[in-house]
Amino acid sequence: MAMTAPDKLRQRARLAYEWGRLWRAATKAWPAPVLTAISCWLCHEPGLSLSIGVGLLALATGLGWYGRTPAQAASAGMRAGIGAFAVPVAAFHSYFAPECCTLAAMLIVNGGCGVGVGVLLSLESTRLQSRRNVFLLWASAVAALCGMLGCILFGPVGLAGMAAGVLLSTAPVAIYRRAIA
Amino acid sequence: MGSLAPMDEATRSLLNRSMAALADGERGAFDPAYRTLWPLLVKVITSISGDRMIAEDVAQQAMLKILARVSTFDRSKDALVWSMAIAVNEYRSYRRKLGNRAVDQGEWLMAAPPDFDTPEAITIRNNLREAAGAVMGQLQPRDLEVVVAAMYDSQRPPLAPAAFRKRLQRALANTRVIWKRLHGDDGTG
Repeated sequence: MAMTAPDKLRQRARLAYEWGRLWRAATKAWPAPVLTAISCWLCHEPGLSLSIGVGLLALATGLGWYGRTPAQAASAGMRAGIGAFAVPVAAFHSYFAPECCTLAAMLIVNGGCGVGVGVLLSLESTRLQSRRNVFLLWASAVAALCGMLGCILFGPVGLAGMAAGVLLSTAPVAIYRRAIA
Repeated sequence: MGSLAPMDEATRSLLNRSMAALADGERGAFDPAYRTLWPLLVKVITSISGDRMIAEDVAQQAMLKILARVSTFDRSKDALVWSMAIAVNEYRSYRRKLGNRAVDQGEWLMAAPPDFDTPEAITIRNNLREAAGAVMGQLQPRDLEVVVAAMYDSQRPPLAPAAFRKRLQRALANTRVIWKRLHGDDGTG
């Protein structure tokens, strides 16, 4: 081991802190590669699955590294997103699968799942003392990306349904909070 | 090991707050945490190693490890105990890297260190400190926690006073066992 000048040590310590945070955030984003792998395997659209998966991993890691409210949002969004991923996949592989492939059914399954996730996250955001909309924005983004990995099965309509569901259930809450603030 | 002045409540509280804030991602808490930790690390490792140069060297590595792991810090725990456990482990690794130089288990263990600064007295004192440091480094984190709390008058684990005394007693008994294993039995109990 070699001695380091105080200023240099401070810089190295700061760098160690940031790397430590980044590494921890990356390990906490473990569901992203798992969901991506399952999505690639089930949906046979590796290009799209990988694009969304990489975006999800980068977003969850970035939010976790930043810390504070965004880090809480990443954890909550990932938890809700696992549900949003599982519901469309289960619907597609269930006994009712043939009925799921009509346009209306796809919108109901994916959009309904998105709305449910958005409502859950809106409720969770009410527990925070401050920065509720920041939490809602980032948690919704993470959950929507997780859900979209499962919606690839339904094609572009499924993806749009999930995104629209999350947006429709969270945007009014955020706008209302802003209005009364 | 030399005795250290008890850490005052305000400093300990500042360290706890800074470490919890850093774990949450508050970058503004970096400088207070760094400034509070550095002298403590040097002081504790100096007391274990008995060598200021080695202590500063090991404290640097310990500081990097503590800050790299601070995002895993559990705010319900005492930041001082948590940090010192990492520092002692770092000192243990340092010693291991040096190849665990065999300590002469001869007569020097029996001899009481004289109170004047002859080369022989300095060597004996350094050897004793090094031997004590090796023993501290092998303590279980649970035992180390109570020993550090008792030595530096830092925040105690959430235990009743009687339970703390019992745990301290057990930790000291374990310390004796490790001492005997590493350095032999001098027959004084």
